[in-house]
Amino acid sequence: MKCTIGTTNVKDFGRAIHALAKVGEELYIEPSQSGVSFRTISSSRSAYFSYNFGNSFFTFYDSGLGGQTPASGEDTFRCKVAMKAVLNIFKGIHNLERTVQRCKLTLKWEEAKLIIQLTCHYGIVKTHNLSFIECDALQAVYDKESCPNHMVSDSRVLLGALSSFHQQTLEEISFCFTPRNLILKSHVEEPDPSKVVHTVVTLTRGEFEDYNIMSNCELTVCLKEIRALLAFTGSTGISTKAYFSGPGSPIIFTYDSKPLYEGTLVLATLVQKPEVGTHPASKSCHEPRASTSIRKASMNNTLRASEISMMQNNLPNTTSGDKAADVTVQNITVALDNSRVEDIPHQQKDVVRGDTSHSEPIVPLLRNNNKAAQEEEEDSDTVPSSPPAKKSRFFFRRCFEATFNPDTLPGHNVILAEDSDEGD
Amino acid sequence: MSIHPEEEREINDGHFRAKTDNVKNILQILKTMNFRDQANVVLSPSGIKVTVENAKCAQANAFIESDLFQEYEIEEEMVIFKLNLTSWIECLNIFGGGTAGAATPSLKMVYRGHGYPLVLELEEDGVVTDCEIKTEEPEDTLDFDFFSTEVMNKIIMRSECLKEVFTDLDVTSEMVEILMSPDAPYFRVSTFGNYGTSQTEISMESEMVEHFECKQTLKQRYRLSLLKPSIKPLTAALKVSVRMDARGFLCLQFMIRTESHHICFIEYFCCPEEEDSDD
Repeated sequence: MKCTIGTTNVKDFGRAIHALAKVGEELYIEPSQSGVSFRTISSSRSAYFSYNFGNSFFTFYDSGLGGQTPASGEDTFRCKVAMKAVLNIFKGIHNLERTVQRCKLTLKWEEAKLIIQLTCHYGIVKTHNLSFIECDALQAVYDKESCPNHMVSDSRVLLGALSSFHQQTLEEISFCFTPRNLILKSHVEEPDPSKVVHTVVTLTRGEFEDYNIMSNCELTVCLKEIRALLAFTGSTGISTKAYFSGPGSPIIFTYDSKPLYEGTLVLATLVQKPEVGTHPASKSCHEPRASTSIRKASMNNTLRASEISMMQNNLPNTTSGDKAADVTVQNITVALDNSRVEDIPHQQKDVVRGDTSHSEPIVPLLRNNNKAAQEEEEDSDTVPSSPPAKKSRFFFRRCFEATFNPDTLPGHNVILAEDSDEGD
Repeated sequence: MSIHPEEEREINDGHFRAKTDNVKNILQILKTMNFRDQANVVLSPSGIKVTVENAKCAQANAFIESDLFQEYEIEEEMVIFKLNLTSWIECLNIFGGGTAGAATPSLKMVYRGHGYPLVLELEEDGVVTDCEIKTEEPEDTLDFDFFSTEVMNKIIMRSECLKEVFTDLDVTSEMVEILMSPDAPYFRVSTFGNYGTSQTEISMESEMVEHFECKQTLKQRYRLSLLKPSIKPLTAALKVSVRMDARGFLCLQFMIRTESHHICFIEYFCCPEEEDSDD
């Protein structure tokens, strides 16, 4: 493959590399007839980020595939290089446009080399030879068409909203979608809520270019990847589209500047809370979910199985709970290869990323919203992790101190009639 | 390294004294040299020479000419001592970096002779600070014997150009290879890092190259860690002259314009890495 990026597009390319570098440590390159894909996956496999550059993005493009169709399998070349190496070449975004006149990318299959040549001002030519490794296709399995909810937002609106959140320490953020507005909340897995800053930003649907939410849902995702995406879209001024169905299923962000490039970020969401519109029958769908989750956990030996099963036991997830759990796994899994789909239920990994002790405390808060009897039952489920349960009770108690304001909970005005009696 | 008789030192209050109304001129130069704590200082009628060495393989020399000072008196032909460069810089910077346009402190330096400290007197708006820096016996400095007759290749260019090359060097590479040649690729800097090799070429046709004089193709490897400290003076410089002699020794000469528009020079020598020649 050979391609040349002109001076006007170098900056966008550099920005794309920077965005990808914030997500993953390896850069997957896959040329095709119509353009090149640059992809990455986060080390926990909870995020998949992909850029497709169309051949009009380049001033010169030769896929090097001849007349073959890329779908023919064996003839498609894919490789990966260390992200850091590429990032070093494109560091200093602001200088790129000023100094680089053209950038030539060459993939030499025989030598397993990626050659990046930057022709800069002052007659400087920088040639970087990076060794690559041939690899399987990196392709996330997702279907944005099947997502019932979507929204389109000016990236700067989201970027502005996110700027209110603590930049360094906050790792996760919850998007609470209601038909009227979007509430962004900091998500902190800290047993003592008084130790951390809680931030809530509300955007009304008027702020969005398109806002189509079928039902309330709350999605908790990693902030780092969202920031990476918005850093790109915010600086180029293009809109970000989001497609999602519910907690536990991935949220898909896309944006494009057709025909030059398009970007897709698939992010795992935390299976964590009962959806705001939970119906009381949630208990009934507990049992099947718990069993499937145990099975799924055992498939992945890197996961601490007991933790997952507990999590999902305690956290009824009715949006996807009604569907067959296996289907959910298929939908959200990011896989290196189709054959490995089953190996990497990244959604669960994301769930596990937080410590049990941290994840647990959320549970009693929810239980409180449910019936006390149910709480007792579930308590017996959590016996294996009694130390965290202590913390949970501690957390539980603070919730009912005078400073606790139920209004800060998402969807407080919508849910659970029995709760509103004592709370409001 | 001459040691003067006691009585001669006692007679003169100021063996060496120099005054400048803008301390930043000197500070700017010294700051670029601070890659090691210790520096040898040579005072002579023509000016001050500060030498900093790194692992006996690299050496930086700064020349601060006497006309940079409003007053400059020295009784001996040459006085040498060693001092802590970091302390010297800290003392000179005692009034802070200051923003542009702010009043700049004036400086008086006095050195009474062997065994005495270097006395600095800084004044800004009536505020006076006295500093004394202990001096030590000088160390022998390397003589790189870099005669201009032996110089095979020489390129003078605007420093931005080389700066862009040097600041982008792959830090995972232990060695840097510099090639200078009368034919293409003229000037090439290569690194061999963990992720692959990188080469940067500067064409002699570049508008940044002011002088190009290469007689022979020379290719030498230098330790990146030895070459790295040259980035500081390079950043401060207007122009840089890159020279390589037949033995492969590298000399970078930086031309720096001080705040009061004096021209100062810093030389940076670097030994090549011994290896089997594969030319």
